[in-house]
Amino acid sequence: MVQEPLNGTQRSSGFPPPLGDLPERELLRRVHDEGDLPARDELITRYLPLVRSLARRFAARGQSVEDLTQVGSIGLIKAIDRFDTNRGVELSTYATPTVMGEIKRYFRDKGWAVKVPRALQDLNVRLNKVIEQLTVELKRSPTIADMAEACGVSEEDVLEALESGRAYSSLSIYGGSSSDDDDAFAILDSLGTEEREYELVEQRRFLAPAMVKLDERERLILHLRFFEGMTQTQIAARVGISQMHVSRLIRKSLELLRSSMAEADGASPAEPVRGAAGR
Amino acid sequence: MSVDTVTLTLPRKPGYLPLLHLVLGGIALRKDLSFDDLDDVQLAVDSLLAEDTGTSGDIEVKVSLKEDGLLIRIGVLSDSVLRESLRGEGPASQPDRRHLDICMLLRGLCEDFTVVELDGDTYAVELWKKAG
Repeated sequence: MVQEPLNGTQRSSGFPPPLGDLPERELLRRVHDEGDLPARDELITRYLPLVRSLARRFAARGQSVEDLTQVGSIGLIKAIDRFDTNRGVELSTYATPTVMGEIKRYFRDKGWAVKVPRALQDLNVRLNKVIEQLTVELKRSPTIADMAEACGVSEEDVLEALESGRAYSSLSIYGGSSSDDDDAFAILDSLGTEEREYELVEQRRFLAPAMVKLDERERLILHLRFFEGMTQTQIAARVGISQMHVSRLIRKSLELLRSSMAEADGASPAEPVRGAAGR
Repeated sequence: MSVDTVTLTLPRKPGYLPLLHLVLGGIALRKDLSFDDLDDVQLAVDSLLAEDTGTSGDIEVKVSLKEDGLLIRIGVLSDSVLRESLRGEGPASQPDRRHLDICMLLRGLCEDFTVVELDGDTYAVELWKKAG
């Protein structure tokens, strides 16, 4: 007599239940213990809506949702394969940052929108840190001359590097460099409800209704800059990102608002001269 | 007292904006503007040009290095809605209008701004940015 395997997931009829009926835990167990590829596919299918949803959050930055979903799917597969079933968390909890990390990495790799010499890219990255250091040391925003001296380069080099940085569309996502992604993620999540108070005022007086197209941090930064009158340096300290990144986010946000309002108005945005903010 | 002035004429194409930024940066050097202030000036100029829907003619930028800051004149602009907004006659209370509240932006980025009427329906905008 052939003994049926005692598996709580099988039906009394003896036929194995379709994968679609299996709980997530069982699918994960099969993937990890048995290398069950169909179970893995089932998990991917179940979580694709999550990936799409996350991809849509980044879609305003110039890439199609389909492309970003594909990129995010790689993150999802990594999450499934690396998931530790002994940890008491849901796959969704683990998959979300992994998918977002994959999408962010994709943008970072594609970030340089125009060809910028490597030396300028490196100087731009250096300046990012130098500005922060000098701001603390000097207790004010540094001048171009301050930066040039600190980096041991000419003032013209600094200007060029700063300008080239605008070609880097690191998006209004979570930080401009690989090292601050996780911190920035936490910052975004930690923006408290007290910061929401400004929304109503802004939407009534300022850029409504396009403001809703910005994420919470972008709205906060615009509010601090144009309603509270804070400088970029002060905002950088408040939000916990670099001054350069504040600058990029302001430009990006304004450009997004302009585009959104033009769309809402049904007008094709005539061809105004738009620069780095729109890149 | 003589005032150093730099005048620049650029094609009205986005590809020339980085050049304008570089020139503004080079001028800001002379006044020891901070990175914060330089970025404000550049963003103010970018915002104005982005709001202007005029498509013909060159962009003329004149920067005067005053004792205590920079006076930047941007022309030749022709967008009438933008002009209304800048004069305070615009749609600040009509949030569904296409133009951002450019006045609020410019006031946040510069100390002051003025609309200067030119020939015909054209005009320029002068931005005043204090150094230090």
